[in-house]
Amino acid sequence: MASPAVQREVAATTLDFLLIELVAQLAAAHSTASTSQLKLEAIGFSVGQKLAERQTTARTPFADTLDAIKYVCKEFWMDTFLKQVDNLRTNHRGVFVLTDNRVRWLATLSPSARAARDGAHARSEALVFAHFPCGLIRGALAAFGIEASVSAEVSALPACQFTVKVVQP
Amino acid sequence: VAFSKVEKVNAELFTLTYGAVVVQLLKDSEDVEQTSIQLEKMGYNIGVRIIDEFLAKANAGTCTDFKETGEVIAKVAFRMFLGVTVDCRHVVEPNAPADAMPAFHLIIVDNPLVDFVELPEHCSTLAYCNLLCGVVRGALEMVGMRVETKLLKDTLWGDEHTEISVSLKELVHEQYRDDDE
Repeated sequence: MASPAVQREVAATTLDFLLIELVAQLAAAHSTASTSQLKLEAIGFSVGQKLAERQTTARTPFADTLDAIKYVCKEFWMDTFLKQVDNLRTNHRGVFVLTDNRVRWLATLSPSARAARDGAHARSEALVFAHFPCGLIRGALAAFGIEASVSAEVSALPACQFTVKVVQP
Repeated sequence: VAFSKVEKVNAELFTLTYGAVVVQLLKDSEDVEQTSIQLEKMGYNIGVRIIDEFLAKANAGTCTDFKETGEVIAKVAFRMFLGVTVDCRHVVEPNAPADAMPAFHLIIVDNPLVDFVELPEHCSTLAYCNLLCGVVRGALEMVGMRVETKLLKDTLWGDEHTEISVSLKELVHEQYRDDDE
């Protein structure tokens, strides 16, 4: 399909509703939380990979891993979340920490009754949703030929830290 | 229009996510029929929630009849959530009784759900867009209209457009009760 001149858009809430339902559906279909989280991550991965491939077809290859990570933080994040990652840190040995101060799905999350009483529980509920953007990042990097593991940490909602550990070839 | 006011995301992100969801459901159930049903159910659950967002943001007012409901869904709701306008065609069955329940068809020419999608042969009967049927059913049920929806045509089945029939089954009147009693 030829890419349209005008970027096609849908309401952000439409995606939110789909994701909320997806999380609920996965939780109902799989008995263990880890299975449903793996599935959510896998869905994110396939989406991230395809999106990144489409966005970078007309681009010169990345010089190095940092270059690719920067692309994910800026353009890729912009295209998917309409904002950039707020902070990027690295130890220059293959570990990158991306901080987004306001992740959509975590910002609009309404905690369950139990979570409202217990901050730690609210964070663990939020972490379920964070598996989707984790998958997106891992997928995008995979599209650039970079194998990595991505984990998320929620310290103060709605901010989220994504730790990318690149698997050294 | 309401769509210009709401926060938006790249439609590709939504389309690809939906595609990945369908693939996941197919893998889990290994059955095309079951997946179609499951998609409709997911849509229903979404519709139940999405109606609040719609009523809060769309300023749609009250519909006087089912015909108008169809117009609002086609022109306002689809535009607000998917950024596309949809045609609404009212269907009158020939020689239907005078008290027959009304129905309309939603005709989606520019369906964002089916971008990049092709159904492989063993899934050719999959009602890929059944989610939309569920959303309409769920949303209308929340405002007191029990409807039946069906995916009649789909571009993925080789049709020119996606077409959903929505027929009214029952008007559910809300029951109010005094708390004092």
